[in-house]
Amino acid sequence: MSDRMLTMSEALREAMSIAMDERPEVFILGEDIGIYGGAFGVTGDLYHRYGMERVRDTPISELGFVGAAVGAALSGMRPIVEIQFSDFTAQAMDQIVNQAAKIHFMVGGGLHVPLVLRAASGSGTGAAAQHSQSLEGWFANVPGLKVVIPSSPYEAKGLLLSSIDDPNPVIFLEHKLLYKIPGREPVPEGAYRIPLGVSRVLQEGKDVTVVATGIMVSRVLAAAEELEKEGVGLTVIDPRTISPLDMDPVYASLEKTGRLMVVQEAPEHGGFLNEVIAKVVTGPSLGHLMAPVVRLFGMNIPIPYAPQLETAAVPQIPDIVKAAREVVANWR
Amino acid sequence: MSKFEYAVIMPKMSMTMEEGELLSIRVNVGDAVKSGDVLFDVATDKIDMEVESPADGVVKEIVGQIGATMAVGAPVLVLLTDTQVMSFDFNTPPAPDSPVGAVVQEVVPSVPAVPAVMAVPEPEVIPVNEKKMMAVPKARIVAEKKGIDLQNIDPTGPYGTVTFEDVNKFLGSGSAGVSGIETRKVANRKKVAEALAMTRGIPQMTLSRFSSHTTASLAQGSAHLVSTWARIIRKNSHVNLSTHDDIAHNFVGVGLIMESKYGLAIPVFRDPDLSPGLQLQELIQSTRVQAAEGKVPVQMLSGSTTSIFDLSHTKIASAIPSLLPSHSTALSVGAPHASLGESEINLTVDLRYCDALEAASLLDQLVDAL
Repeated sequence: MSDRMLTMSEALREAMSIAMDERPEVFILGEDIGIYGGAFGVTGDLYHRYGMERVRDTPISELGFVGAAVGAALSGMRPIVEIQFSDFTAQAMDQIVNQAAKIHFMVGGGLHVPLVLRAASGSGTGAAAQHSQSLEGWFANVPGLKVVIPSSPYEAKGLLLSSIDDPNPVIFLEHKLLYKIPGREPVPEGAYRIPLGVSRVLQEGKDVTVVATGIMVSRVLAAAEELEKEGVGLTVIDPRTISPLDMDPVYASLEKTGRLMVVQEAPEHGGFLNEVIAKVVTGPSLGHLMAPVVRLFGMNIPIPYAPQLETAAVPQIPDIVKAAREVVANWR
Repeated sequence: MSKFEYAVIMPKMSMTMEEGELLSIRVNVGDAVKSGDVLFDVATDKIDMEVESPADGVVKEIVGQIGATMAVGAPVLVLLTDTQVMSFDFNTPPAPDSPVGAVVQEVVPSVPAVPAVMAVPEPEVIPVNEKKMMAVPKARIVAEKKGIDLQNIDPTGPYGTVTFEDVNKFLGSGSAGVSGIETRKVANRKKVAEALAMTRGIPQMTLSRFSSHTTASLAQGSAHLVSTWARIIRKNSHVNLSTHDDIAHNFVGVGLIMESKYGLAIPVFRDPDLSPGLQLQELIQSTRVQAAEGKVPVQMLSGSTTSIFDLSHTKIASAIPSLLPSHSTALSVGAPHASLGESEINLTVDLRYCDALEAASLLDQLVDAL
């Protein structure tokens, strides 16, 4: 096992490179992904290594190039679309929701759309309201789409390879803040695949079961470290894919902790992790609950531009520490 | 800890005050309050006053509506308190008309003790409504498995919720074997005994006479006895007043001692002599059923001016009745004698309000009327 530490950009690039080596039908398309190397440097030198046929710069038209990718996928290719900011998926929504997600079902299963749509998401970069959203809830609410949210370089590489293999359209949401920072664990060389629909228990603690996605996973882990000193133990679960969603580890953990906390950057109202709560209170875990469920979500506001407000708009490490400490103190 | 329910009532702030306006409520349901914390503000035509919490506890229920005019003695809110506070204020007469009839099944203080402003001089209030305890799911499930009544557990969680730890502590404490009913019986018994102790120093006398009324009376439950005694009391207004302020009552309230799930209950029948016999009989019967289940409507828990201990359905020949606080009379009726068919009736009077001869006359009037 390698002890190689990569950033998420590097890990994603490596996954795409492996996929392109493995399968000639894999190609990448998007804005500024060629010579420029991608707005966040994810494609990097792939243009030079694989050529302009397989790393294709597109015009600034999400509707156009996502539609082109859906068509390519239908005709046997495995396109990877990069959307510069996930906010721009709104431009391509018909292609994603009404075409990519539905075609397989509209033709009695006779066609597949093996499309991966990678999109940079989340706040924290000062990119303001139109470039900072966390829109996973939109896609999770569309049957026919798989939705993947990697929380580290290691996860990103293994999950992207599985997503490219998958015969269904996969929305792959990458948090911008994770691109440039080294991950929490080494990234092995070569190909490895993390199955879609399997949650990961990152650590076990006795007091609170925390389900978090994307950037929030690292914040929860940091909070857990701090809480450990006070004797408060967090079990940290990263679902990794929210569609499909693997709840079993959550149920198993709640048997031990009796307390559930969910942490996401997306706004609270209608936010995806509410679904985790719904499954807990309507399912086998209800009787294990010994505290109200704690929700740490983004505020119900557009992400502000002012840095202090941007920080305040989404859960931060101290918020997680405080909430976990309180739920344990109040509900024994 | 927060085990006892106390109704904090509209206080009587002056001798002539009969009602007050609830200006504001300073607490919310679930708030923890300390003794002396201001709970609500009250206004009369003479004075505005802050009403303080009589004890440490948690606000369980708010009954009063801000802006409402409420009779003296009407419950404004219900506290769950840590300790049982025993305090009767003899300067406050029973509430003439409790306005809480509409919420009867909702709010029932288990004990009437509201220090300093106690409007209910009888120790008669019993825990009535078994309210569903709030508990986290895990606590509820464990309690059910172990056969624990959640009512017995002191909730320490927010909003008065029973936590998992509360159940565990309860299991560990060894008190799990004691039923909630038993706990309440003990509390209720103490309450009644302490109230009766208060009338011990009053100069009193008990007279007894045999009466052959029993066959008719037995058939009617206690209705005949209750209405006849009420009629006698109404005619003899010198014994129908509150002994702590000497204010005459313009009604007769007969407290009828009966058995309840939680020990003795003394529901009050208001002006029973004015209601049709059959109706009263049915009311007494249905109240007995309710009392047996531990549910007595809150409006029947105050306003008694005399009491009856009817033993005619038992084998007990006689009992010396004890005066309840603020009452000047107390009546008991024994079981009919096996061969003679007569029952012994005992009347205890407060000699300050009714001398021996007057008492004899009262008893004669009753037996003759029966």
